[in-house]
Amino acid sequence: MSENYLLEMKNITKIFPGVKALDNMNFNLKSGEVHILIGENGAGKSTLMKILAGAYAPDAGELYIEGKKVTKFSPIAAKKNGIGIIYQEFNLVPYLTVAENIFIDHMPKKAGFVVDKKKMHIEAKKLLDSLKMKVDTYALASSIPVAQQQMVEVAKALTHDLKILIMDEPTAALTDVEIEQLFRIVRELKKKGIGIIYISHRLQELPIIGDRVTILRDGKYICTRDIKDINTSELVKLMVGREIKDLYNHTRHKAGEVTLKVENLCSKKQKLENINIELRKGEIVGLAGLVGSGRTELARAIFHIDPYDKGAIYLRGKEIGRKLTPRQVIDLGISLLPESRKEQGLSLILPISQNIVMASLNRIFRKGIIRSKLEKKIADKYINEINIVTPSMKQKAVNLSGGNQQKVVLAKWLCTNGDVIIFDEPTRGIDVGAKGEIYSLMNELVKQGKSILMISSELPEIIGMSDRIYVMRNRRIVKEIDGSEATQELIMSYAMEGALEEERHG
Amino acid sequence: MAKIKSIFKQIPIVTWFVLLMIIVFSFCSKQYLTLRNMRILLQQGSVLLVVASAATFIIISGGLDLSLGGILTLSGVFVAIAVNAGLPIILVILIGALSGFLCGAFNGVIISYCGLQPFIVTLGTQGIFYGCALAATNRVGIQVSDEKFLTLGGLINGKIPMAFICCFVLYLFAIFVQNRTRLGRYVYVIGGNSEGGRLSGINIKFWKWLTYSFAGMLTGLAAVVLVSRLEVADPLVGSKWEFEAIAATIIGGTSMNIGKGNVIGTIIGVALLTVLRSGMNVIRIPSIWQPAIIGIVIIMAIVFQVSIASKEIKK
Amino acid sequence: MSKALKQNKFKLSVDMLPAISRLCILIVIVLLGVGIDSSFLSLRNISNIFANASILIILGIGQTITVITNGPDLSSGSVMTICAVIAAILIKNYNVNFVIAILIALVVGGIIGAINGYMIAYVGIPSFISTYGLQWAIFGFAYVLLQGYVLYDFDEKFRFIGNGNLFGVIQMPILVTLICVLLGHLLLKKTTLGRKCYAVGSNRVSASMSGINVNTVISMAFVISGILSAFAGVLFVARMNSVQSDSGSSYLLPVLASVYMGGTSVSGGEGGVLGTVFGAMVMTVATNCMNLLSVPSEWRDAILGVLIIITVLLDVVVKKRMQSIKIVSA
Repeated sequence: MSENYLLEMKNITKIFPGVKALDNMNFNLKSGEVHILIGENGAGKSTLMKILAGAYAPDAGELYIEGKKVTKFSPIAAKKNGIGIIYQEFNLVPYLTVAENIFIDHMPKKAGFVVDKKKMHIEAKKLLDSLKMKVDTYALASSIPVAQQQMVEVAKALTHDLKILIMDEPTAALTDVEIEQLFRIVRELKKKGIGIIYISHRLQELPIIGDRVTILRDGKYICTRDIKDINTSELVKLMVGREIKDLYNHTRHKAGEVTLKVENLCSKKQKLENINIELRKGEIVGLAGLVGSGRTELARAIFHIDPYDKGAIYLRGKEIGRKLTPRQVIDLGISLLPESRKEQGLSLILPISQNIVMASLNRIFRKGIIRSKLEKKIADKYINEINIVTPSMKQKAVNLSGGNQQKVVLAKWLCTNGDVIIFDEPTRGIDVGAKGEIYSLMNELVKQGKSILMISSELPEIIGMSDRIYVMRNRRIVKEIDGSEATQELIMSYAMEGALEEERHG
Repeated sequence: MAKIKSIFKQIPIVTWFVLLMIIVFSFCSKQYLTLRNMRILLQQGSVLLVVASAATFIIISGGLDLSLGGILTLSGVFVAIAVNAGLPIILVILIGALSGFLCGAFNGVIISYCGLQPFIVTLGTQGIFYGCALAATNRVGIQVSDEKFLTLGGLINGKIPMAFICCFVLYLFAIFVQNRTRLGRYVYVIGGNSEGGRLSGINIKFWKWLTYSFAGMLTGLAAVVLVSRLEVADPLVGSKWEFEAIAATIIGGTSMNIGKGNVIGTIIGVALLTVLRSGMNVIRIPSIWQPAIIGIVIIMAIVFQVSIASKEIKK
Repeated sequence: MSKALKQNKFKLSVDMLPAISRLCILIVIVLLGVGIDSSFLSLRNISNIFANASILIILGIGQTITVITNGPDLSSGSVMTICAVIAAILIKNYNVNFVIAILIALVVGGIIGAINGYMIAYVGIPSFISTYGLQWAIFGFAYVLLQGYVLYDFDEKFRFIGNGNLFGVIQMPILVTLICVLLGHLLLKKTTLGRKCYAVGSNRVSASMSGINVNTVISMAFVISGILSAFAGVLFVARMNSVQSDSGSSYLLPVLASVYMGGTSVSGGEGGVLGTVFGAMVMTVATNCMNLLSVPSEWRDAILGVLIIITVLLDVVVKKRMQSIKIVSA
């Protein structure tokens, strides 16, 4: 019965070019409950969130709030419907005060256009006090600690006659004490009848704060259970329980000697602690973990594009210095295909051929002169070898499909003749056909004796392609799993906090 | 108390440098620290104070306006024509404000609604505004001699620096707008988190447009004082205004592109430029050298301020 | 041969839209010119136009390089002036051999460029603020050097560069300019440095992750612009036979207009010297026409301003249309 639900989503579908982000999603929320939304990266949580927040409109399906159908999808309409959302990276204006941030879109006025500061601060204080939050309303948003910023976000949401609050990983950046405070506030909100959609990966929190939990997987709705009726291992199973199609065709080779060794790497700024990993000749090592677990940060530290404070990196037995430039690292033979190919991997407005040679200019063109014939030859070679689909090598990279763009990035790094290649999310946003091609290219590379470190959030991909897998959580390596023993549940249980029995029982 | 402390923290280090200069200059010349000289200084820095305040709004919002000098000149021309046509002062002031507002609005439309980069647009409109001023005056300055009007900018009885008083009022007005109106608060949103502001339902495009329009209006009002003070609307004056306005803003502690800054601080930047310029003669720097030295000091002050700001951000 | 699977002729022509629109503008202006003066298209007139455009073109080459890499070099007018002044003073007052004087001027230009590069790449001041600011200081120094005087009447041999005729047919400024254009074009298109400029300008992050030293590239771009501005200054003195402390101030807007009209993108990473030459020619022809039509000089800046805005606006509009066309055909 829809009238009982504060929020109801029926058969909501959302399609982006190349991917079905939500597939017939069903979801409901009761007033005064904390409903936890759980799922892997890419399961559809953020798309669902954004539809509720009015950032996207669904392609199919219906959304009901308090029984009424929602017809308009915009941030303003969402607010009118009583929906508030707190993103993981907060949405505050850094150099405005707390009170101003809270009332950002409807500051109290007097005499028409003058902002009534006094009233604003009084109201802000009232709001914060009612939830027993201690925040200085005159402080600038950028100067208060993260936990307080979050409270400001909650207060901000409350100014709009809040009925539904969506919280995305609210405890990710908080200390235990601050988490307690947050839970207290959440309970106050529940008392007011507000329904809370709580997205989190920290399984140990679920029984403390949650009432029901809904699991998503690959854009589909899997099930909803009462928290008291489900245990962690069941949760993990439901999260990852999919069939693994074998696109991967990965044969394990006999691993050779160690090519890359990272020893006790620490970085204060990136909060990496005591990272120890090894890469051998001819093997693909997977690096698994949730978003924010530190995998990209580790890759960037190895590549020396972010500095690290302690520890050592050995390439083929020799230590490479901490103060190297990326150029030197590339010349030593390490390559990094970054996570976002459009923003970091390619120059979109430059032609394919120029992108391919970009990291090897000094090596290929001695004396600093570009020889077009040579460039053409090289570009042709890679376009053919990797099967980049394009009418000409002069085509701008922006005109290619995602899969082909990724191939261009790969070509660029192959051109550097490196033997340690780090792939950060190599097949994200790429169609199945291109994925298969990239997998076979990776297989070919290790057959030739290269070493690959593959960061991926797609569990089937990690399991299908890796000879060994490191799992990262909270900026540390928590487990090394051999490829033959890896299962999706095993990886996920190490990747998530509180998933393992030992952790929950202390 | 916390409010005062937070304002104190925002006072740039350059302030002490300005005070140092004043001390040095007064040592070199007994005439420097006299009331008479101070009045002259105040008059000299007055118009820049307003134009720089206008620039500050735009820079806080993450933009740039190279056409402020052109707006100043063109508005001045309209003001002079109005005065000579015998219009009452209130109307003259309104004309100044309106002409500035329209110029700024023109900038705003192209920048905010068409989405072009402020630098290019205002470089173009700079030429347009100056060109119009030149055309309207036939390359000859327009003299004004209306007694009542001249009181707005002159040194009354040799004692009261009216130009400074009027401009200081405008400066206070700018501070008021910054602290107490939505426009003033929203420039921080545009500069500090415009996407977030948009998601919160703020019509960023409109407020951005209004920012440029308001800056234009302020500049137009400054033109009234300028024409009154100089007793002429001169279209050939040249375009150092926008540079000094931007320099004063940055030296006064406003950062570019992050939505941080304050009109209050801009007065320090203006003070630096005014004191510097005035003191050159006192310490016997040949007038030949003065533009060069001023340029160098400004650049060093900007480099200094930007380095400090980026170190703070890195923390 | 590459696997050319998609015969996408349509996409190619859409990419060429900016070039086509500029060609149209040139045709319009040329028609205007011919309409005003029937001998407009004569070899003599055209080579005169080119000679007049020479300084604009040389300044434009430097500007093109910095705009592609990072942003405009607003100090180029002032660098041109001060290097012209330095060369002039050395030749006239100190009887320095003009070749050496020219070399010194070029070095000074390079040093100023290095200062720009330092402020922009290492300190992090946005290029338009720092070059804009530097120009005032430099004009100030030029003023100091000249003490308000105007220098004129230079030695024949020196003036040859600006005024002479090689073999009685080819005008020297044209030759000199062509050499600069050739060098500039080759630098951008045929050297690794030029390639790195495009890389840095189109995507700074991707360039640095490809091992390119972004700070060095940006600094080099400004050093080159400084040297070219210096050379433009030398040419100016040789051609005009005089120099004063604000000689270069009227060049900034036309140079930027030439660069942007020539197709170099505001956001960097795209464009080239040849386009700028084209833009400079259009500017010069337009100025020529305005002279012939007795358009008062006060309107010139205004017209220039409008031209710049329209050009950039057109570019943005065209880009947006291209993007929406791409999405449809994807």
